[in-house]
Amino acid sequence: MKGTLKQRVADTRESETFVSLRPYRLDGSDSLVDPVDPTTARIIPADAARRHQLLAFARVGTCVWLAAVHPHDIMGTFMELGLPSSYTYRWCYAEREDLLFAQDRVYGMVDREGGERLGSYLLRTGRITTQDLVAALADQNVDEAGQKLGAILLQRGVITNWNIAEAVASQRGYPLIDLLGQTALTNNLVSSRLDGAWALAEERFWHRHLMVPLDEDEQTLTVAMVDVDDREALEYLEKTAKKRLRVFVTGSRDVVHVLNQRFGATQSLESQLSLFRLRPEDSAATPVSRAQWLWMLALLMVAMVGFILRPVWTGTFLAATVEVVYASVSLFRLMTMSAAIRSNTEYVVTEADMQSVPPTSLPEYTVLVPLYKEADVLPMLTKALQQLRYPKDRLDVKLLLEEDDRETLEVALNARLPSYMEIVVVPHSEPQTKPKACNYGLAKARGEYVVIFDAEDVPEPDQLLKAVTIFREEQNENLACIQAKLSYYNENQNILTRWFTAEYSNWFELLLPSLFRLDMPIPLGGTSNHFRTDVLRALGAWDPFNVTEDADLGIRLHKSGYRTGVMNSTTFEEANSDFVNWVRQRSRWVKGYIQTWFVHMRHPVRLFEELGNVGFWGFQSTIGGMPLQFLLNPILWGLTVAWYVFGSSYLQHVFSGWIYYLGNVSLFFGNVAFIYANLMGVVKAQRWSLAKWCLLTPVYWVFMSIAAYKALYQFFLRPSYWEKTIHGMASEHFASTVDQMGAGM
Amino acid sequence: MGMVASSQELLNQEPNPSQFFPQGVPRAVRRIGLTMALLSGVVSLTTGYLLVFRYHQLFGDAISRAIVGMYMTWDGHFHLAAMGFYWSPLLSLFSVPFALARHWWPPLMTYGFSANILSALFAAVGVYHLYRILWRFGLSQWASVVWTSLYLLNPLILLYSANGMSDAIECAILLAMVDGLVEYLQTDRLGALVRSATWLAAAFMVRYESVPIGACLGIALVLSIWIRTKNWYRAEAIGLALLFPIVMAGIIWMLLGAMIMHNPFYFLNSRYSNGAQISTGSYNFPQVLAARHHLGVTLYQVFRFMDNFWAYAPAAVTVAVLQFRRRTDSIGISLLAASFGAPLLQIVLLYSHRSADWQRFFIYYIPFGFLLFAYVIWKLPIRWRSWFAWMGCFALVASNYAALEAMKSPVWGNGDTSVYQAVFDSQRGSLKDNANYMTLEQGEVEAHYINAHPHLVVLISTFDSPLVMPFIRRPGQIIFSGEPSYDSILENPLGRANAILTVPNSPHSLGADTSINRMYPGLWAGHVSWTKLIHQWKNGDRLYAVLKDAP
Repeated sequence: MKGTLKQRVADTRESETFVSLRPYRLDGSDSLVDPVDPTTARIIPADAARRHQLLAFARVGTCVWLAAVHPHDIMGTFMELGLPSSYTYRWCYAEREDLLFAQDRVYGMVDREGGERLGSYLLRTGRITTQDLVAALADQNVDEAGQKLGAILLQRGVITNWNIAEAVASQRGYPLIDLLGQTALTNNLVSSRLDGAWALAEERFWHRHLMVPLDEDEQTLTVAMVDVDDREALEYLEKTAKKRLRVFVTGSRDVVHVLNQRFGATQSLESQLSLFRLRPEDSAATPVSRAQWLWMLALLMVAMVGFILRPVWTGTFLAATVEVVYASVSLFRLMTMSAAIRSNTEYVVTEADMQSVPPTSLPEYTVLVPLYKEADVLPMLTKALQQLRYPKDRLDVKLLLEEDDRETLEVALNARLPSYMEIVVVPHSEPQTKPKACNYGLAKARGEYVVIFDAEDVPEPDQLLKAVTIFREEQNENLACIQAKLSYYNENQNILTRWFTAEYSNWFELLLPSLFRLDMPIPLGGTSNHFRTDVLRALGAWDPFNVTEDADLGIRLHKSGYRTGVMNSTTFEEANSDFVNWVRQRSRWVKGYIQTWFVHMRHPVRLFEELGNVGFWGFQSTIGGMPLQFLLNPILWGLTVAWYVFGSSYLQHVFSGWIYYLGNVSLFFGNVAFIYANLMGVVKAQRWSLAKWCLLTPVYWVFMSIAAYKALYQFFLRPSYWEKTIHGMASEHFASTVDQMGAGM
Repeated sequence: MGMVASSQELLNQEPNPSQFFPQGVPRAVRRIGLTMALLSGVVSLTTGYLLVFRYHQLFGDAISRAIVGMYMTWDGHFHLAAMGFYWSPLLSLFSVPFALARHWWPPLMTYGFSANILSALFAAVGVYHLYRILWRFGLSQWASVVWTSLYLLNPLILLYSANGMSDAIECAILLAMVDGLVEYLQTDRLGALVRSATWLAAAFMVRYESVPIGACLGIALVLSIWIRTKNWYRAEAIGLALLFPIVMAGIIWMLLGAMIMHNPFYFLNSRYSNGAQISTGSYNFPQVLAARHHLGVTLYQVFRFMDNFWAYAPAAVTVAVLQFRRRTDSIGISLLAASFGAPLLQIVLLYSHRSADWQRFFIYYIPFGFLLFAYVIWKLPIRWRSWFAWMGCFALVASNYAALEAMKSPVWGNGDTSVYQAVFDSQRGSLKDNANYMTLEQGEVEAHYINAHPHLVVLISTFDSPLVMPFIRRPGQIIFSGEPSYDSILENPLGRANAILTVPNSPHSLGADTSINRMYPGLWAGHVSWTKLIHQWKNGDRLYAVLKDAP
């Protein structure tokens, strides 16, 4: 077998085998297998191996296998390596990256561009193991979004933000500063001494670039920041301050801590009053205006006088008005819904569409999750959010926890949350509502887009990608919001959840897409609305005094010329399975609609001009019509019974002629049509098992009316009181839905 | 991306093409279909005009339905109760605008020509939808044109598309229903399913045959979807979506009957129902009596009426065979089942002696025969489809000819032979021998008498004197049986009516069944003491004055 080295080298010329030097995973095993044998590799000195770009990676008996990027080019200098002549050598081709990575594993890492690389530093300082590094590099290799190694290690939970800060400081020679737990320093930073430095940029700038000013003198502005490569931020500050910049590296949580200290109080106040300051007429802080009170009182007086003087005429007039309004609202809604039955009225984003958006171009996305007394669902919620198909280094998830909710806070603080999830503690103040918490979170948001999810939500994993795809491809600056559909994961828990799901199917499959198609204002659903952050801020965000802030925001978007689309992505929620809890939730919704109607009807003519003809009547039909119908139903049912059972002669005078026929059309045709619309909603949503339950929908309408009267009562007495919906009554469904989503089912 | 730039663009957007079937019917197909519909409407209306004004062929039920529209607006206000609640309501409701326009052209009511207009309109609807279905079944443009024309030119379809009766209207509505259903099953477009269900409900409001047709169709559809998808909930949901409107239409109809006539089944068991009328013996034709409680004869008769469209039988058998030999197809099995609906109903009615065997009751063999025949051609290999479509025209022509032959037969053309004779038979008598025309003339004479005596306030039963009212000049002179206060006034006429118009009350005649003769059996013969004969007409109708000792 043995021959001269030259002959042995000549043998290798015959071989054109390629080899992968990447660690691989055997089926069913968690650990990685490294194809490179370090002992064999050391046959060749490190510097020679790096110089010649080769590696001895395996030995079988006396045969040593060599990998090189260009084996043929090395032949001439092969003798210089001084390899032991007791072996025969077989050559293989290898990819350059594979080879360099393998050499790093065997000989230790070097920074080829100058300075030590992050992985090498972390490995050397014992922050991570080789296994961690190999796995993270493998992830990075397949990651199309171009995430940095540090971000991937963070997501894997093997290092902290502070570790990265240390590494960056070491690599780049920047000084490192710890801002956490240093009360004196933090107080100094947020004191008026640095007001000039803080004033160099808007609050949003500091949040977006994760940096804070540390000091300022006549020549120098000192800042602490997370990403020292953020040229945009550095140049802006340099230009604005007209001073030399001195940069400290720090951790992201350090920056957030200082920003909270600096802006917390302002943000808290803004979360309450931003809309009120910006557009006081659109705020529900005053639910009913003075003029509206006067109108109501005047109408009441006229009605009373009319009943005393001319009871039949007055009754007839009222009956006619009620019947016309009722029938018009019904007809309008049915016609609207029919648009969605006739053709597709929503954005349909396919996998191919999503792939057309380069992953590296995906922007930062803020996810706001307001939580109040949701300790039980927090673990599943975080799991659901982790399943979102979006580069995690561009996710800015904010769990908005109320200051007085100690239980949830404790659970959240003890949970090992991923690095992109931040706990935001909302200071206690009135009104203690979800919109106020969202406003507070929005003030800290870094994303180009922002979405709201509720505590018990399970969004489809690709929902954020779909929203970005629509925003990108639409290229319509007026499209400010994309509403995902909402549905329930516990639809078959009991009859209430069945009806509730059927109603949601009708709402999200038929009504909202049709409103979009017909260019009418869309009352947004409570969650899964994806906004352009800048538009949302410009509008004053959510009204903290409105208990259906989502619906109100949809109207304000439309008034300002923006549009809301509906997309083919669903967020699954927990349907209320308990009647009392359901009434609580529903009464809040109805109350919110009443609030929204009164707020926007302060100036009906102006509203007509802002919404346009179709939009105005769409608003009346959905926002005004829905609560009105729930409130009128029991009265009309009662009158029907009085007519047919007791044969009231007064009613026969009042409901005479066409009023009688219109009433009957509403009674018979209207009820049937709305039951059928519900049925169509579940068929469109392919919730087949619910179809037969739709036939019993009129019972559900009775429940609606109960909730509506509670809402009316509360509207006048506790307008901004937030009736808390208890979640976690379908935890098994929640968990299984999260698992199904994770498994891509 | 299946995404649009703005809501306005969405409005202009054509539906997405399906992978297998085009979702929407292309504009060109719609245009040809509409042209065919327009031509059909013109042909039907012209035929109707000739029938009424040249051949004086008036059809009692058609006139009655038209006049019900007039009853509902008799005093200038709308009275739903005047509808009567024995006819299915849709055509009567459609007659209301014509009734309001009768002052401009009285024949709309006096000749009941509004019913002929409605027939022609629906003929156009039916032809349009048949054309769309044929296109969906893969027939070429010209083959579809010829087939559609042959459908309209079927003697029975043409006659009933022109004469104001409800039978061809029902066929047209069923074709529209099938069009929606086929579109839904081919494309999954929800709108098509809703359209189909709405047409089915409309069919109920025209004729009650829609009930067995809908039931058969629904059962077949649900079962076929269940077998195909193994998903019972899905089948159940689609079945509900299809049948819910017709079921609710039925329930509302019964509720209205209960509220207004105090009998939810008034349309079934009132004295004006088919069953009640046949019990008077008026329709005891030999073949009706032969079928009574004799299943064999009943089946034979129902089978023999396939003469209306003999191609139905081989087409139905072929479709059935296809369902067993190939994978069950929801379209085929649904069409087949729906085609059984009307004949099954007739089997039950004839066997139980609750209906007469009018030829028009078996008209449904024609539209369903066309559909099943077209379905069979659709299922052929594409290379044969065109050839068979054209060859099939011969079968269609032959079937149409057979229908004409059946029409000539007094047995199998029951109810229509007289029309054929009036139009084509050179041995016919006077064109004005049509019984309804004679009634019309008589009605006019009686109305003139009432018009000439403005002090009279006359109680009239619309069941036996329907054709008086169209000629009345002052509505206040008439209290007719559709008015809510009619029964009360009939019982106590003093001070509320001063005359009663009645028809001869002979046993086993329809005259015995009027509300007046039931309440006062001796009135016509002059045996009611508080009345006095004012006038008698040559057909036997009499007008009695109500005297002061009346109740």
